[in-house]
Amino acid sequence: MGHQEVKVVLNASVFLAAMLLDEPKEVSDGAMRMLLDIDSGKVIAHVPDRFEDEVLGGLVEAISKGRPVSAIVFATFLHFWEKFRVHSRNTDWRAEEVFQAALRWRVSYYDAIYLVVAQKVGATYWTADKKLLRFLRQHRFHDLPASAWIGDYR
Amino acid sequence: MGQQIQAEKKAVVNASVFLTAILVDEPKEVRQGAFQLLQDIVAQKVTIHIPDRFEDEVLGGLVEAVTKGRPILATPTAIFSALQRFIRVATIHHRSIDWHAEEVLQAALRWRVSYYDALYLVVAQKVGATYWTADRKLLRFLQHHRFPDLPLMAWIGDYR
Amino acid sequence: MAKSRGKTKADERKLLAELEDAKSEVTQMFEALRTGAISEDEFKQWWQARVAFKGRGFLRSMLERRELARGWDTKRSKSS
Repeated sequence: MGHQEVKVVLNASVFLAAMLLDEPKEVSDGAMRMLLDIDSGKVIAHVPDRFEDEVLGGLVEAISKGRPVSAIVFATFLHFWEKFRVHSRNTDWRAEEVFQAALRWRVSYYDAIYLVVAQKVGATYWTADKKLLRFLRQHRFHDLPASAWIGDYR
Repeated sequence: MGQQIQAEKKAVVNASVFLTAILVDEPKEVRQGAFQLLQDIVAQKVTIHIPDRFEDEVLGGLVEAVTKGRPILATPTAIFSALQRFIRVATIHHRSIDWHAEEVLQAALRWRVSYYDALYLVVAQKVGATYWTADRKLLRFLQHHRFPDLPLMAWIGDYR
Repeated sequence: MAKSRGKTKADERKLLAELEDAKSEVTQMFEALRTGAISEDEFKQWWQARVAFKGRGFLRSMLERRELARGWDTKRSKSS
């Protein structure tokens, strides 16, 4: 029997959710489960190159607000960064297609980058953003990738 | 003094400067400065350096403006084309080649600014350019703290 | 703009200086989990104690900013 590769695209908020002590348990548990599956190779994670900026930007912001972010948090990000399949701008995705997708799907340009990557690799887009998911399911654009809430990840 | 004049011929611009030029409801003083700088760039009186993600940030702002129904200077397609013309005269600084996430992170922590602001400041520092921004609060903060390795910075409303 | 409050220059240098040791610790813990040297529960206890940090409202504010960028709520038409 053939083994089908399980592919995910995860949003930076999913990654950060796994690192936050006081987030709703279902969100942080789902995020943690996904990270463990990525580490063990059960799941292949695809992210756009800007994922790095979003996570690091988020951590810089957390530090600026006095959150106790230690070196080990950055080390954990670097550990996972090596496991991600990173999709680079101009090579794997282009600004023009993301721009058109954002206007077509009526989402932000940043949402569209992740959705376009998920569409290209045939992955499910996992996010902590319930409002976005509700919007996408309501509008049922025919060319959207599958998307899911991280709290439902098993 | 010589270094300052040279730096003024080289500019790094924040995406908000480009967006200010295309968003009709932005304050007049900032729009005038933005327009003048963009004209000087296209006329090659000023050399422009931008990080690769500048394009994403402008398009992100443009998509947001369109969705919110903000008045923009031309159609989204026309603005996209104008952005491409602008980018063609720019020197683009690419991730992992010209700038690295780790140095941006270190700069952000050292200067106590956002990662996003640090990226533009790092590019300006590397090429010896003046960093033009519409963000007065950022300028005030950095001018107050006087970190020794910061590039020259200026408010776009002051551009002549 | 994220201005740093209550975080001195020395703290930031310390954070970067500790990164190499932190990378070793992370690698060791994931390896221990993979080989079965520690259980998943033990791994999660380490994660809670050493990696996870308090950030109440942090994720919510991140998601709210993304929502604003979408412009679906036309009543709040603040510029980006």
